[in-house]
Amino acid sequence: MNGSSAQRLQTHPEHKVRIAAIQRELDAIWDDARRAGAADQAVTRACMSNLIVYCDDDEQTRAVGSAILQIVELHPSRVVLLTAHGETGEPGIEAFVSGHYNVLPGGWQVCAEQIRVVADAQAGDRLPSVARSQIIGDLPTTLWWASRQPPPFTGKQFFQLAEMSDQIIYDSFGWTNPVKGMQAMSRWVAAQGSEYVIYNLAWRRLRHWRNLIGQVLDPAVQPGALRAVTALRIEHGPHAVAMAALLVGWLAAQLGWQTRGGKVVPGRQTVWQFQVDDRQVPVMLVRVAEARSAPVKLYWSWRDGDKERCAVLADLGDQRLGIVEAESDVAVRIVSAPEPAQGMLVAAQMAHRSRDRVFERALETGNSMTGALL
Amino acid sequence: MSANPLGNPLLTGLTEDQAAQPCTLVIFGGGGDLSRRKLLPAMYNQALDGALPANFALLGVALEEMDDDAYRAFAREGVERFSRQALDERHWQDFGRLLHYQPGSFTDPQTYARLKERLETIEPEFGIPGNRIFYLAIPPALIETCVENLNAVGLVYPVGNDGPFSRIIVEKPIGHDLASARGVNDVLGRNLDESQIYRIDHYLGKETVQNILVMRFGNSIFEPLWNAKYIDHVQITVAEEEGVGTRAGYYDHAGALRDMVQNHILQLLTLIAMEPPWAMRADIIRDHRQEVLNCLRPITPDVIDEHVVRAQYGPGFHQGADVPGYRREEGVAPDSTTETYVALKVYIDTWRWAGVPFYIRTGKRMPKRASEIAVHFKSVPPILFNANPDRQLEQNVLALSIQPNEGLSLRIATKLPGPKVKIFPVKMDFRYGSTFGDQSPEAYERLILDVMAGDATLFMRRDAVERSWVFIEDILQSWASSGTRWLPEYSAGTWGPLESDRMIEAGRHKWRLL
Repeated sequence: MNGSSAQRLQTHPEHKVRIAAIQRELDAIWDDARRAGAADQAVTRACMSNLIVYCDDDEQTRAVGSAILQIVELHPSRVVLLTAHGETGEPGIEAFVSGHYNVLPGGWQVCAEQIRVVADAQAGDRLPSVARSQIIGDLPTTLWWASRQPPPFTGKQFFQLAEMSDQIIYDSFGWTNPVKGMQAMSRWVAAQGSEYVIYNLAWRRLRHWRNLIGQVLDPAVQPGALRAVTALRIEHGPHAVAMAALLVGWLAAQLGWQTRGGKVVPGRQTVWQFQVDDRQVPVMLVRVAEARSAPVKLYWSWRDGDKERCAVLADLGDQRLGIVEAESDVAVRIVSAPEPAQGMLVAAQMAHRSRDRVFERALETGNSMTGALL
Repeated sequence: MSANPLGNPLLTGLTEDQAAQPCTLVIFGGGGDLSRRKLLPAMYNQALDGALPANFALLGVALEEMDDDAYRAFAREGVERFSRQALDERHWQDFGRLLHYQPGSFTDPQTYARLKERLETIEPEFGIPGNRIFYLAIPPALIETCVENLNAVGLVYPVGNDGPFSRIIVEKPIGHDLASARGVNDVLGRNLDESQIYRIDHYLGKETVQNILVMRFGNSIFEPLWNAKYIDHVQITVAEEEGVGTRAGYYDHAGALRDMVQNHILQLLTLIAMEPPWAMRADIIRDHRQEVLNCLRPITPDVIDEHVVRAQYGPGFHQGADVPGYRREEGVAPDSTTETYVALKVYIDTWRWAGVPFYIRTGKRMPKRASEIAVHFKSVPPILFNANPDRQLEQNVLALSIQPNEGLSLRIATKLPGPKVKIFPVKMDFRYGSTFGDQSPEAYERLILDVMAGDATLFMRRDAVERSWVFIEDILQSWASSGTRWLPEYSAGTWGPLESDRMIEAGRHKWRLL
C-alpha cells in the first residue's frame, strides 16, 4: 500500500468529551453515520484489535496521526491515543473522540473509533486507568510505544500499560541514549518470560538487510563466507547506532559469536571483538554524519584459502539494496527494499501474534554486547 | 550455528511463510500471452515487494526470435498494462537485468542443449546454486516433447540428493479426457518424481479459497454445523461475463465442463467438503481433498437428465450492447454442440454429506463476473417465528465470494425495531479489500513463490487430476452417446437456461441471484 490508500478513509471530526461519557460519544458517531446514509444502508464495524499508543507530548501525538490512519486501514482497531506531557485547557486530563471509516456502496464501515487522552505533566500517571476502561474485551491489545524514551525508563506508566497488553511494539530509532536503552530493554524483555510478544520496529526495517546478507553469504552460494569471517564493518547514519547494533546482535546470535570486549568513541564509532571459533573478529560500527538514518554500507571480509575476500553491501538509494560491484568479490545482486511508513510497520506487526525468537536472541546478544561497552 | 532447514542460520525466521529459495525460473512459452499478462507481471510485483530471492534470474524460452533486450521490452509492456503495481523506472532497471531470453523450437533437441549452456552461464553470474524451475506455459501437446528433452539433456535432477532442485510447473488443462490426462501424467512420471511436479490451478491461489480452510478449521462455530444435519445445500457458481473471445480454437473442443468444472470447481468442492486435516502439510491436505473426489457419486446415463444441464448462449445483450450467439462467434463451428453453460447436481457419498446436494453452475456470457460458494443452512422449524407458511424465514447463508471482490457474508434473521416482531434478513459482510485495505498479491504471485519454497499444498496431485476426469468422463460419455445436435439456448446476458432452473427447483431450491 502507498500513502494514497490511507486517504480513502474518511474521518469523523474529533470533539472533546468528558471521560465518563466516552462510550456514549462514540455511540453518537455511529448514530451520525446511520443518519447520514440512506435508509437501506448499513453501518458496520470491523475491529481486530485494541491499539494503545503512548506519546511523550503533543508534537509526537500529531506526528503519529497519519500513521494511525495507515494502521486502521490495514488493521481495523479501537485506538486509545495517550499523550503524557500535553497541553490541556485545564489542569489534569482531557479526552477527545473521533472515528475513521470507509464509505462502501452499501453504507459505512467504521474501522476505527479513536479516543485521544491528553494529560499534563502532573497527571500522566492517570493515563493507564483511562486506557484500561476503554479497551474492548475479546480482542488482542497492542501497546505501541511511540515515545523516544526506551520503555523501561518511563517506569510505572509503561509497566501498567504493558500489563493490559498482549503485544508491545517500540522503536529504538532515535533513542537519545541507545546503549543504555538497548541494555534496559533487553533486560526487561528477558525478565518477562513468555508473557508478551515484544517487537522493535527497527527489526522489521532490517528485514531486507538480513535477507540480502543471508542470501549473498549463503553457504550454497559462497562456501565458507560465514564461517571464515575475519572482519565486519557497518557504516550508518545519525540516530541509527541502535539499529546497526541490532544487526550485529542478530549476526552474533545466529552465527554463535561470543562477545569478548568493546569500546565506544562517542559520536564516531563503536567497536567489538567477538570470538569466532579460535580467532578474534573485529566488528566496527562507524557513524557517517551525512548518511541517512539507517545502516548504509556493510563490509564483510572472510578468508578463502590464502586469499582475503570481501562482499560490500550497500543502500543503493531508491529503496534498493545491493552489492557494490567495484569493491566486492561476489556476483552483483540488487533487491528491492521497500521502506514502509511507520504506520504500515506497526500494522504488519500487529497481525503477527507469535514471538519472534530470532529477534529475542538478537536482543539477548545485544545485552551482552552493551555490557561490554558500559 | 543454529539449525535451519536450508543450512543457513541467517535465513531462519526471515519470513512468516516458507522462504523462496534461490533459483532460475525458466518459462517455456515465455513470449506468450500468459507470460505477458500474468507471469512476468507477477514476478515484477514480487521483486517490487522484496519477496524474490536475491539470487534469482528468469529465462524465457519461445519460438520468436528475440534477444534479451527485446524480451525485456516485451516484459515491460506486459508489466505496464497488467501489473497490480505501477511500473517504477528505477526498480524496473533492476528487475530487467534478471530477465533473459533464449529463442528455440520446443521440438528441437538443440534448444534444450543451448538452454543448458545458457543456464550454466547465468547461474554463477547471479549467485544461483543450480536450482531450476521450469514453467510450461505451452500447449498440452508439447508437454511430452518438452519434458523428455529436459530430461535427456540432464536438466532434471534426481530427487533425494542434497544438491540443487529442479521443479516443473504444468498449466491446465491436464489432458482432454481421462486417457489423455493419464498420458500426460505418465510422461511427467517417467521423467520426474511426483514431488517435482506442480500442477497449477490459479483458483487455489486466491485469498478466499485459502480462507476456506481457515474459516472451517480456525473457527469453532462453523465446523460443528458443517454436515448434513445442518446444511441444506451448497451452491457453487463461477460466472463469466465474456463470451468465447479469442479462445474459440481451444474452447470449442473443450466446453464449460472441461474448462471449469474438471479443475477449478471440483477443487473448490474438495475444500468445502473435505474432512479436517491433522496438519497443514501438502501431502495431508491433498490426501483429504482426494477423499472427497473418491466419494463423488457418479452421474450415470440413467440419471444424467436430472443431474446435469448443458446449454449454449444465444444472441443477447451484454451491458446494453448486442452480442452474437456462440455459434456465430469467430472460430466456432456453426453447428457446434459445445456447452458454454453447465449446471450439475452433485452428491458426495460420505457420512458427513449424505443427501446434501451440491449445485454447481458455470457459464459464459452471464450478466456479471462472479464466483461464489454459498452454503445454505437448514431452515428453522416451522413454529414460532417461522410458523407462517406464506412467509417463510430465509435460510442462513454463508457465502464466500471469490471474485471480483474477495470476502464472505453471513445472512441472519433479525428483529426490526418496533413494538411488533417483524423479522428481516440482514447480510453481514466482510470484504478483504475494505477490511484489510492492502492489495492482495495475485494468485500467480503466491503460487510461484510456493514452488520456489517447495510447498505443493495448493497444487494438484496426479491422483486428483485423474479422479476428477473419472467423474467428468461419465458425463462426457453420456453426452457423446446422446447424439444431440442442438443444445438448449440461453440469451447472452442472462443467468442460464430455464432447464437449469427446473433442475434446481426439482429439489425445492433456487439459484442465488448474484
